Amino acid sequence: MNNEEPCGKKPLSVLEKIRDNLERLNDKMEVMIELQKHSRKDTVPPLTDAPLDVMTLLSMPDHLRKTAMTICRCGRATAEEISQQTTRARAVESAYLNQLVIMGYLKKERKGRKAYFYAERETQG
Amino acid sequence: MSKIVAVHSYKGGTGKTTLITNVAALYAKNGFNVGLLDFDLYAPSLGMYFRKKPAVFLNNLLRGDLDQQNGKVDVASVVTDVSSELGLKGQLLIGFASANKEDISEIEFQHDQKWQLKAIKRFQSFKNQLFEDYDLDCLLLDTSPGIRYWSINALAMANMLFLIMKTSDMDIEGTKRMVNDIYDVLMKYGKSKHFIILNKIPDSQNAHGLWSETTELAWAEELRKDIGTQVVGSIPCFCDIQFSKHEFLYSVKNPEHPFSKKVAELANRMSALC
Repeated sequence: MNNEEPCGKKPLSVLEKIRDNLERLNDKMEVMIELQKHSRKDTVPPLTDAPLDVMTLLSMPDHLRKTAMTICRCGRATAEEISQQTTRARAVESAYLNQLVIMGYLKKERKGRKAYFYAERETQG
Repeated sequence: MSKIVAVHSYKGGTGKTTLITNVAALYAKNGFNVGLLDFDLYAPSLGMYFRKKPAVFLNNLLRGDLDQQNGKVDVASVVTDVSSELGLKGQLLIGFASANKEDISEIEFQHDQKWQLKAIKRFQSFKNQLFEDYDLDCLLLDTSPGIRYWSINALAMANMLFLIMKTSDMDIEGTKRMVNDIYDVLMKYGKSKHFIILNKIPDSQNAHGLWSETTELAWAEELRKDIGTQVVGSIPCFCDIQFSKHEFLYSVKNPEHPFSKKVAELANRMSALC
């Protein structure tokens, strides 16, 4: 009994662990995106320019749809800005946004240390 | 009154077109300016219903044939005002879809999603202009049954959705699934409410053994529990309407018929909700 953490702290440490894992996952996604950008076209299938229309949004799982809908409303935003609207953690939104980039629904642009995500104008429903 | 209203159903043959054309004509008869668009692009029927052969269709609009240099579209060429020939007080503007197989297959198969998205933008521009140029009170969209690309787009663009269904098991199960898969998601992201309209209710087929008005109320309650959506209107099955060779705005032409009275009641309820 004494070796166990107090009840209130255990969920907190689990959440911290989840956050750390998400951060690591996010870093890996960043690497994947960079690799895709620079890799040869014949080795990586092109995933860019998938249109983000109503049908596509409806076919997405709830967690990604929430992020995608928010970016559609914002136009162009950082993970931090999206997280303020969805009330989910920044790391979570960052992971979802990067997933949407890999899926070809969003574009990503770096300005200094900040990464901006957006759906291309022509592809917005 | 809500600006854009879409009628939809899980299955075909539920009476969407008959009900929405009658409702549109009743609104125009009462002095409202109404737009009615045939968004059943895969099986258009308003052309046949109104016995019109227009030169320009909604398909031309979506294809970009009506694009203008100022970024707008040529609205006037795609809508036909039938109010004067029908003796209606308000305007009734109809946008027809082409029933040519080439035009249908173009929408269905020939273009990628990017083309479809451009078409959606053209439609958005069109509907905004329609409201401005014709001082519309409401725009009614008749859609294709089931989960089709343009039906879903029409639903996403509408402020108010009405699901028309019959009382068969297939209709009930399909509608239930569609409400879970599509409607609930649309509602979650800012769309206004959706309602069920029961059509062609057989008088004697009811689990409770009830009749007439009581039958309708029993069905409404049953579906509210089963599907979780409010039933706002119910129309009994009238064989003389359903099997007539060409039902044409019956509720305007024969206002004393029980069907017409039911449709008028439904039109009032719909406008009260919107």
